Amino acid sequence: MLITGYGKLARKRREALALLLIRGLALFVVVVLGALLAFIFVNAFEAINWSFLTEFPKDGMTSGGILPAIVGTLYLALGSMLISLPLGFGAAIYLAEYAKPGPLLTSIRLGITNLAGVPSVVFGLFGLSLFVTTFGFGRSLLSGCLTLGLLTLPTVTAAAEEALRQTPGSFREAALALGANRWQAVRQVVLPAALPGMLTGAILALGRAAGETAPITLTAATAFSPALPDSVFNEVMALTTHIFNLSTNGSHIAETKPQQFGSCLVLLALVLGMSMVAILIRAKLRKGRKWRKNHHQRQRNLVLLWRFPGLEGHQFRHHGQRGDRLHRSLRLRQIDFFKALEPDERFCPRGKVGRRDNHRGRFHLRPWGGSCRYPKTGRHGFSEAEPFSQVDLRQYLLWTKAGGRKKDFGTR
Amino acid sequence: MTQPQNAINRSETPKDSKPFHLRPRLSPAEKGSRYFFLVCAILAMGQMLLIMVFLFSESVGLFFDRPDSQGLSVWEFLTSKDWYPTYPNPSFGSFSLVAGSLSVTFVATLLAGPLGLGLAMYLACIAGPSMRQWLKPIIELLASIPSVVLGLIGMVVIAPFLQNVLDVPTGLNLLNSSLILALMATPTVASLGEDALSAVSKDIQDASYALGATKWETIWKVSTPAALGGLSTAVILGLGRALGETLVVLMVAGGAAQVPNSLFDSIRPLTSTLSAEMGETAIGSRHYQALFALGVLLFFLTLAFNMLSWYLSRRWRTRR
Repeated sequence: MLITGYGKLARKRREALALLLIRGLALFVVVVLGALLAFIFVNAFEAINWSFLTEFPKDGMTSGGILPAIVGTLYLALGSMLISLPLGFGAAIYLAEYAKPGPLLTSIRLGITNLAGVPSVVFGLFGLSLFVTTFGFGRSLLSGCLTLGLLTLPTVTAAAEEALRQTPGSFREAALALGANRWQAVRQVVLPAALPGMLTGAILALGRAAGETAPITLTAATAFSPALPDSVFNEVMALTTHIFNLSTNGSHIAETKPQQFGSCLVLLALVLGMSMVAILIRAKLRKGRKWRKNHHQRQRNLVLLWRFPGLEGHQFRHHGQRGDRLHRSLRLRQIDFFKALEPDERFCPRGKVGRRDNHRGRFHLRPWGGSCRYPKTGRHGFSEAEPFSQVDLRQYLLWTKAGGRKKDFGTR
Repeated sequence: MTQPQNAINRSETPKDSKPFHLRPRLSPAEKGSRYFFLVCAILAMGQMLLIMVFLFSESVGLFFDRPDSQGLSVWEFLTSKDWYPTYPNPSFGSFSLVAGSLSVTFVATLLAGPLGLGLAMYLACIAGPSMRQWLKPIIELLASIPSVVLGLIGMVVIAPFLQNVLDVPTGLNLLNSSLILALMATPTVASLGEDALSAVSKDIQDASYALGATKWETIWKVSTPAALGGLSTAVILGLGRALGETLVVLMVAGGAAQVPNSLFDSIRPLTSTLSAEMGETAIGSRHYQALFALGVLLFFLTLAFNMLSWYLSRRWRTRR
């Protein structure tokens, strides 16, 4: 087995053996997991029919359907999202957009990371002592939803933060430079771009909530309910606890096999279906939308302006003295807007200022560069800038911050 | 004097009361949203503290005297092997439960670690792009199979198999639950490990090939050391998942509170004890408090693993 030596032959053999082993491992894992799913499908096939999905359990659960369990699982999963989506998205926005590095950020991030690793049964205990006992909600849909909401919170937060961080910084910078405050930038530019990614994380969390058992048994679940829940204070059945009860409790374990596997299949269809939707969306996002430096830049500029219908007519900082406004007609003309944003003397180094501006005293925007009055130097003139579509905003900002020279400023 | 068409009429300029530098920096919406998001983040973090506070406050009574019973010493709780909560003279020793949890996690990691990392290496370094494109989502999909389904498989398929083939008294034992937990943790390890290996810079791999190394040598001696932080995080997170998993061990571990001597011993991990016994205790009883104390123990065990993975991922950063 062990091949010693470093001769050509030994290395070749070792290579072949190792690769074979790894391929074998991969094949083994996939085959085992595939066989597992196939086994469930085969066993569940006889149980699944229309009445199984739409009826209540009968005869001590040995026959009839699983309608209350399906409904209960859906209520619990969707209800938990009512808790975890607002909180999780809010926390993610804070972490990605507002927080500055420091002890607060570190502790929040550490808390959320650790929360993701806390076992679900501990969340169950927490829900039991806080919602069921202290708040007096009892074992109920409400307690279950709250517990599951807290359980999925770290997942939602982490996914949303990742999605927010993937939107390019130039989006924010452009929006801020346009005069938007942070909230406007987040709401009108960053969120629309990041929302699909954030929702993907939410769907994954939904699947996780639907597949949880331990916290539900402690806070919400009942073995059998004769009716669908009509208030949030009712106990509910859930698919997971139903499977667990059928397979471990009672005297009819063998008779309820088809029921168990039928419930498994329904649960798998729900959970895997949700995950598949999320994964497909994510794959599509990754493939279709690569925010690269020079990718779709022109469209991005347009998008930015279209995202700011409220900003037309706003004064911009550097125009303030001049009394100019971004006008609708300019908006439609793809104005070179970062130059409209910040054309101070840094952008036009003294040596680079060219001809005198014939339109001196009048604000004049042109796609190839604008004329402006430079507040500190008092000079007038054209800048010799590239059209915006060829210039990377982020590099520009870096350049101005670093006080670099114009030739350092990448153009393509 | 006629103005050019696109020139803007100055009389339209809004008359702002203050010049720019005197205006307040933050609008109410800006300020409000900022604090709202801060509160969200602090709530998300504070949940951690809240969990700790509630677990402690519910369990602390176990260690103090009551009118009807004497308080348990922390040392006895941690080291005693006897977990007989419902006896007339109950004893609450968590050692065998912790031993059960750790042993099942250890065996599951021994199985899932190599499997998951092998799969990760295959995905990241060997598989072609089209294969990876299909396989990775499938692996991630498998990571989301609910544990109760896997537990059922363990009861129905693996337990009879072990009982018949290996001729052991019960199929519901340490080995069975480790197998199922390994099956659960493998996709997690593979997915995270693949991320770590893919993040290794192409440059150093190319450099390795340029020196004449084979593919395997590149994977083993270049990519793996470079991604060590990420790979160890992947294994530890898989391990954490196995440690915190409830339903699988509840269904297939057998449920005898003892320190296991062999792979075929029945065990009773912390999580299954919590889940099985919590429904049958009166709120506020000593048994209830003891279960919350087990919850504290479990909480700190997983916390330790998380901190370890956090530390390791910082210690060996993936070289990009």
